[in-house]
Amino acid sequence: MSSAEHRGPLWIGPSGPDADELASALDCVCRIVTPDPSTEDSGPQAWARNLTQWRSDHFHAARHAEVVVALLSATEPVPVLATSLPQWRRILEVPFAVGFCSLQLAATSCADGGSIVVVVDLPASLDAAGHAATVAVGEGICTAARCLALTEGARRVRVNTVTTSVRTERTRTGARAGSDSPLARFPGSLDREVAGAVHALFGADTAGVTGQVLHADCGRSW
Amino acid sequence: MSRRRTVVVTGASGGVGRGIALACAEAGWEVWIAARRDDQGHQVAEEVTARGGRGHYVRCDVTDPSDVDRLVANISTICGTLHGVVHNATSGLSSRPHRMVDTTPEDLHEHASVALTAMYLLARATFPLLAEATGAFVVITSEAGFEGKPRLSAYAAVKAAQRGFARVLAQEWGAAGVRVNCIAPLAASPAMTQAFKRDPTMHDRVMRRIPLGRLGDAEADIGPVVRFLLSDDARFVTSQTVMADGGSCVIT
Repeated sequence: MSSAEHRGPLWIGPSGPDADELASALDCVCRIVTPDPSTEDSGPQAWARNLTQWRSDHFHAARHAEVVVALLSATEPVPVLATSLPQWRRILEVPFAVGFCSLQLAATSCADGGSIVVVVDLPASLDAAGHAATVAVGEGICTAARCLALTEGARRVRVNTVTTSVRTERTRTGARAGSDSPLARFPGSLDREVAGAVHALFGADTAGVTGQVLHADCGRSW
Repeated sequence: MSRRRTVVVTGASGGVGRGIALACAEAGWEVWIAARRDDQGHQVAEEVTARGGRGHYVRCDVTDPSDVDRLVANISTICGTLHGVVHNATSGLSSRPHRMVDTTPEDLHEHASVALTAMYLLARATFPLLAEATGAFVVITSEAGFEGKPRLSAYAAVKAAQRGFARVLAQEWGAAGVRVNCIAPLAASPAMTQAFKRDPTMHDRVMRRIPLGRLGDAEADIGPVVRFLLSDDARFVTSQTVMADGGSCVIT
């Protein structure tokens, strides 16, 4: 099937129930599955080699008009002080590298004039305790996406990010801090609020929007 | 001015780190220089003492857990307390321009190790002392972490990640009275000089966007801001990023 015949965005992201839900809502037919950080216990040199191999396997694949990069890396909350070093490497270093390499792949997979939307787990600041690695990775990838927007704009490629609290909110125990979010549906769902934001950023109405971060969390972030 | 404090500054054998150390020395503080360049590190420690503080140098690779633990053990043994930590160390790749698509996983690991895993190691090792002293943790980030930089994407990404990490630490440590803040400086430094040499147009681009019309001086412009964040004057400031950049960054 040529790239012109591909329907729906190219998906670069994990597999699993959440990924399937979002990919299905976005009509992603072509998928490149990212390495699973939870299986990376082999040390930094080994996973760097694995990631290099994964990247070169898929670099310069067929071009697509729309590319979704999904970095669904949130884990169970754990305070920084209770996190072991091997755990830290698994929940921060590896997902960060996977996300960055996924953006690299997106850049080479997106056609001129196309659009890349990145989806990341990023709890609102009020809800972030216990999620240091998720927040660090999310913030880092948001900025990496903006860097990509700065370079790819020359060939009219737009790059934007959608953040979601859906997965981190599932791990909540105890009451939320601060006021309720403006919209009662908080945190929303992957197949509605998140997919809707992605669709909007792919659409012609956002032709002048690039390098931006859209928090699809019912107003919890600002 | 605050009471005398004991602080540690990583990557303080030159540049912004040295400026921070000397600013703390002006206040008469005890300053631990944690770095990898022995000659330069010892020299900065001597400068701290000459300026009215008390300087110590410890060779420390902040990405090595045993080095970090040894650093903190030294501080605990000799001073018995620690009021402030400044994580200033940055990867040697930080100012090296690169295309995003050319960045290797090995380079990413290097950036993340120094910026983020080292921050984690320092946080874990120093928290007991900081909690006892109701101290402060300061991270040196960058405007790159706000705006993104087309040829410094890995650096920009880890600097943004540091800010997010610092905000979470501020939440987790607030109950213990420990404050966590960031500062995004824009200062003349050897790295900046190298960057201007590599790209002569960069100097003009950088200078044109600074309302105050100059780069900061590490000791006179950046150090005092960090000293403030470490001091009692900032007792109600946490989870913030202070821009000490002459107004350069348009996103805050």
